[in-house]
Amino acid sequence: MKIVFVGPPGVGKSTAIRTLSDFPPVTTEVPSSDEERMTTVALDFGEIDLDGDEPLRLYGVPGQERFEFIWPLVSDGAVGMFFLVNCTDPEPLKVLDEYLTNFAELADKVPAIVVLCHGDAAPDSLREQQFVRHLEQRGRPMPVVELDLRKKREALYLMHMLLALIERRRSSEAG
Amino acid sequence: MGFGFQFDTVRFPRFFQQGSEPAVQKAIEGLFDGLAGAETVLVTTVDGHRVASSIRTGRETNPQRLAAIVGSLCGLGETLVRETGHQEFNDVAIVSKTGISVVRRLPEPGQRLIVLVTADTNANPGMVGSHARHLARTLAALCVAPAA
Repeated sequence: MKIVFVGPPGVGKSTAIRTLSDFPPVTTEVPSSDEERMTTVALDFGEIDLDGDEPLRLYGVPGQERFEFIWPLVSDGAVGMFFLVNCTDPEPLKVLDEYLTNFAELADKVPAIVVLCHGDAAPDSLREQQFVRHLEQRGRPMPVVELDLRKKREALYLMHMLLALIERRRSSEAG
Repeated sequence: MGFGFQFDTVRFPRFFQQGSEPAVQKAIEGLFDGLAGAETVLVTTVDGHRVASSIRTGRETNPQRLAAIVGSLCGLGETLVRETGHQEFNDVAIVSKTGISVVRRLPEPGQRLIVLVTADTNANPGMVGSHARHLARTLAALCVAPAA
């Protein structure tokens, strides 16, 4: 099963996959031209085996819009997705809306969760309920959680949450 | 619609020596003189920003979009080299029915840059690769070393 991590540069997509993957993930990180950090230029890939059945394949996409050509290539066939939001962003709702629009086709088909990241660095930022209301107003309700994806326990909690949504969706479609 | 030598006024000075625009232009345009069928030369950052380009093709081409694709290709090429246990990525060559594209990372001190050379079938893959390698070396000699 393929799971996709989506969100702006530097939000923590590569970190999340590194935290979760059972092996060192495949990365395509290079030095950013504009900032003092690394940035993904093609994809991240890792795997996690949660129940000994079918491993989950974890894919991260590059966040910058100039890499939009690769987004459908990487996300094709996904059964679930995460929208990562950087709480330190001055306009997190606007950024989230851009990714919701760009990935609308996939988000229409598969369960998705919004993950608020870097909340510890932005104590005055918007909180979960404000995102929930915003998503409802947009007609795209989905769960919102604030987590630290550097911590394996929190990242695993998130994966189980998404798997439960996927299972529920499958059950309702079958029934 | 082809267009000649162009460079990004913000990014170019970050990677090339001061006053090197004419030498970079000469190196890029020299490739067109020496390689029959050459269509595109594009210099990009490793994270997919256009730095300089010269495009001589009748097709509509978006250099910014091409630069991002080149950045991804180079990133995937380097990742493949790493994953297979090989060392020192050189280039990615893509051969199609109507043309050849070679993506090559510049040697030091230009290692933060990539060059793309494309040509139609009047050129053969070996020649495109050879010209791309020579151009990469020439451009690297005009680069500034990255800050430690």
